[in-house]
Amino acid sequence: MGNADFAQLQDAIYSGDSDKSLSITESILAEGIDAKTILNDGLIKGMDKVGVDFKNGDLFLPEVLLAARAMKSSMTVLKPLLIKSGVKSSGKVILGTVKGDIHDIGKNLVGMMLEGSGFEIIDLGNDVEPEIFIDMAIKENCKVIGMSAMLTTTMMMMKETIIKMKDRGVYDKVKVMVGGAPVTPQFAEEIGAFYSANASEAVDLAKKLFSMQTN
Amino acid sequence: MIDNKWRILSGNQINQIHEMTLRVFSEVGIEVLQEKARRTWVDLGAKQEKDSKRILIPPALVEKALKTVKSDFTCGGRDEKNDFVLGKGKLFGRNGGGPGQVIDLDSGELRNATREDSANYAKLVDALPNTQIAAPVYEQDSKPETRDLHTLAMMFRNTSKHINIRLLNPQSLPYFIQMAAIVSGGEENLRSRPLITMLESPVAPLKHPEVLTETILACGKYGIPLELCSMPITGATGPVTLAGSLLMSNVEMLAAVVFGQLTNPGMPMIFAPRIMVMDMAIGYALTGSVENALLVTAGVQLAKEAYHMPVNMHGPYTDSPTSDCQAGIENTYFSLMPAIAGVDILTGAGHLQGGLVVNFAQLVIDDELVGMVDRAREGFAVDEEMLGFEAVKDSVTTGNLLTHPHTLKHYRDNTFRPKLVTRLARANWMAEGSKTMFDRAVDKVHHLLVNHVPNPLDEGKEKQISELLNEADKKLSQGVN
Ligand code: B12
Repeated sequence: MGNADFAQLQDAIYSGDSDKSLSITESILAEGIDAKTILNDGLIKGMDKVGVDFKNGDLFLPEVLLAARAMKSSMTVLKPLLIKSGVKSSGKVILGTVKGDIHDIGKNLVGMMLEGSGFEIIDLGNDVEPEIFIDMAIKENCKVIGMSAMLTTTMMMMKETIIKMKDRGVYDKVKVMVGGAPVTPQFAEEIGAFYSANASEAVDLAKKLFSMQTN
Repeated sequence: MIDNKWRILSGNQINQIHEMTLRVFSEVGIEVLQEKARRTWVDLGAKQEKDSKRILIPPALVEKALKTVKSDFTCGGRDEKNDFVLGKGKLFGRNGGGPGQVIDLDSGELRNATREDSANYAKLVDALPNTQIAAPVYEQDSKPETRDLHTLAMMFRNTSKHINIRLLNPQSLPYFIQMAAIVSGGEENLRSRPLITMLESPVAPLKHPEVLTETILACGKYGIPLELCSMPITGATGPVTLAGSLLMSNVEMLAAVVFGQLTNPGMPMIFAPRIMVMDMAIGYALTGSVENALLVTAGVQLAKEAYHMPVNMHGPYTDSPTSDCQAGIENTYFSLMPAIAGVDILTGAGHLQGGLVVNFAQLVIDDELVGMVDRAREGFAVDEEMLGFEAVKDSVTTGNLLTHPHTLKHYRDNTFRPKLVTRLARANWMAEGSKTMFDRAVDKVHHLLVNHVPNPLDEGKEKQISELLNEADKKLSQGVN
């Protein structure tokens, strides 16, 4: 075993080859390497490279989504081991398009990108009532909630959801990120949320939000 | 109009798209979300797939429906002088509608639209020469449940031109029709000179939501023109290829045409396949790329050559967040290409950033652009008289032709004069403040808002509208939790 294996695993992730990433993951595991090391030195490093190249415009969205899929297929064998050894996933994110809004393409993209970066996604779909976000956050002890809205009318539901979170004492325990074409950074700040303009920035934002909470 | 319209698809390719559409109809179908509508489809002769909401449409139904489609019809304005016939070769401009945000002309900042903005937007359209159809910006001051109704009322008060509007809230539908009937002076008048066109969309991929079904039926019943706009996004909710998303859009819309024509034969409909192009490097759906322009041009051909329907396409619909050179470039090719292909309505004047915001000065600029495009597609005549053999011959002796009879006869033929471009010598342009086109457009907005007075709405009708709004506010705001 050695770095060569990890390089291969990173390549498999980068090129979006699900079968290969799974089989390499299995063979590294068989060599006795622990799941956490494989996750960090193989999968996440591979995805980081994908992220950088996507930002530079060298990779396109479908390639990123394939890489995310490859990562997911490796995770099917790693996840049970990680849970067993008490390693927390890099984070669970609740996502949904707010009540009254059915625009979900952007939200889905954000979800796929987050998943590809190792986050666990609970997708509540579209037209989601504030209470559902909150119930789910409590049930899953979720630290980050992402809301999407494409209508100036439904943007107000983001505000309302946050107010209800405060009422139910959840707001202090979570960070809220928001997005969608009409949403602005100012609006996000006003309502006490964090903004990102697109799916790849959403990944950076989610990382930031989780790191804020462990401190 | 110029004889040779610009065609980017061959007749063969159009046939292929239509044939493939029929194949999708019979093998994949359309997901119809309303149960009642599925039953209607089955009664009309379509098949429902077992245990699903998918409706399969046999070719015979399509053929039958296409026989009753109207290729032209009248659109009314509150003031009769603003009536026009759509589909007879004339080009009409419609401003961009839908957003709830505007760029403030004084500060240059993005902000929510107010009630005053909503009124002013309609008022500007009322004043502009090349924008014959008014669409709304939604003020954010009123309650969301009845915002669309208050906006429609605001439009009726501030413009006497034809109005294009869609529902924000499906429950507003009967009130829309009542309000239009009030202003028309009764349902019969509304039918003969409909004052509004409604706009509704299938949802990609291949879904007909309940609000679409209901709007088709209501428009059919009252003779209100319905603009069918489908917006698959290439590679996201439609195939990644331009041809594939064109097919997808065609399937979604043609199914709506079939449903409308079979339930209310001859109902006025407008085709609007407005596909968005995904930029795969960032994940945004574009409206102003060159590929978008190709798609709208092809869409015009489908509407005109395959279905003989009036067609409304995105024209000035830039992706730029501000009124800059990008906006100018994108809006130009985007308007010119479908116009030369024979589009009936160019939509989008005033929009920036893919239809997310409105800038009043951009509206004035785009209005001028639509005028130019209209002039361009008029072309010019070529015949014995126009070729002016005598003028050519006489130029040899007279040296110039400024006062030649041929000049004197024709120098006023060209009636189009752009108002916003500058043709001044540099010194004179500087003397006038070295203003850019945008600066001049801002001046014009201020001027029009102060000086233009729309033909006022009759007091009795105003009263009825206020009562209707009160009723709607009470009824529609209650049930909403
Ligand atoms: C496709 C579309 C639809 C489809 C939606 C299908 C679907 N499954 O989503 C349909 C036809 C159903 C639809 C319906 C309506 N629509 Co629409 N629609 C659009 C359109 C054309 C594209 C939106 C899109 O998917 N973009 C592509 C994605 C990838 O981009 P995105 O959503 O912005 O997401 C990116 C970022 O914003 C960010 N992001 C998004 N979410 C999140 C969340 C988080 C947490 C983070 C961090 C980031 C983030 O990352 C994403 C990826 O990079 C826009 C026009 C436009 N220019 O955007 C209008 C638009 C949004 N719609 C509009 C309107 C008015 C409507 C309707 C009210 C019209 C009607 N009466 O039918 C209805 C509303 C229905 C409802 N209740 O929601 C207006 C909104 C105006 C406004 N801002 O108020 C727009 C701007 C068009 C217009 N000018 O009229 N629409």
